[in-house]
Amino acid sequence: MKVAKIGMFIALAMALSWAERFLFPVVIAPGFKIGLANIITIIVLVLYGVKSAFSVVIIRSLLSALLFAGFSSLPYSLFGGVAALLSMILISKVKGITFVGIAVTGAFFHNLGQVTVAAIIMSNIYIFTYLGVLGIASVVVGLFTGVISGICIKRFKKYEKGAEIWSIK
Amino acid sequence: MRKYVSVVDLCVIIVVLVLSVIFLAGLNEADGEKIIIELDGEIYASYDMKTIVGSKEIHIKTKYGENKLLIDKNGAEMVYSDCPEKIDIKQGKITKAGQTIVCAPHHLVVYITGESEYDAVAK
Repeated sequence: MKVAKIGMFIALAMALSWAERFLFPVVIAPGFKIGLANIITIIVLVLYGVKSAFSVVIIRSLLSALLFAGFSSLPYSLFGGVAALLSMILISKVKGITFVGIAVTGAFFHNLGQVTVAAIIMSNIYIFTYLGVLGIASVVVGLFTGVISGICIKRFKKYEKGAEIWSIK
Repeated sequence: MRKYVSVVDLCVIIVVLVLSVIFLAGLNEADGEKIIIELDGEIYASYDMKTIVGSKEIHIKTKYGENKLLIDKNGAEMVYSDCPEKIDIKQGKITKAGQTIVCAPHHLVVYITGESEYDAVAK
């Protein structure tokens, strides 16, 4: 059952990252995405735990590379996704944090991860200056995805008994 | 709003914003001196901004793809790229030292260097 559900969430994450190009054509900063797929990562992390969240992030990156973006984009999405997930796992241990704080952290580290990959691949340190704009944009989208994640998890919990692995209110 | 954002969340947001401002401040707003084009971390071409007359189109054709960069004495702008998302074109014109245009699929970075503070002091 769990495998089937995780598969469904992966599909949902991929559909969301595809759809956001059409739903939000406004570009906050070039190369920046709203990151609707991060909502799915947060939901899976809360409902099914760390292992499942990692499998969602990694499989989603691989499939997106295979289907849409091409393999040159793989290090970016993989490194960004894993950095975001690790940061969200750590920050969720902090007392009193809610989904907004988690989502903002995730968005920021996703950008940090991708910019780091870009700086390594192109061996150019100047790329880090772009993180200023991306950081401010992370706060905006983090507020948005955080609130949505919170609402979704409230609903999902009704159907997932004993799913409160992570006691985030 | 109170329902969704706790005090701890606000602290996280403030930390991220402060970090962003630090990164933005890291941009040295001095006038540029040279436009550098880098491919795979190696310098592909560099142009002294003062010596550029009018505007000049630079055609960059590599194994990764094709780009066209328009440079003049004020800065540089990517005008054509055959990469999928055209993020490099959307980044617009760069005019100040420290600013960059990145075309990740083509492993291409265009940036402007300026007179660093140390040089100015030494003079």
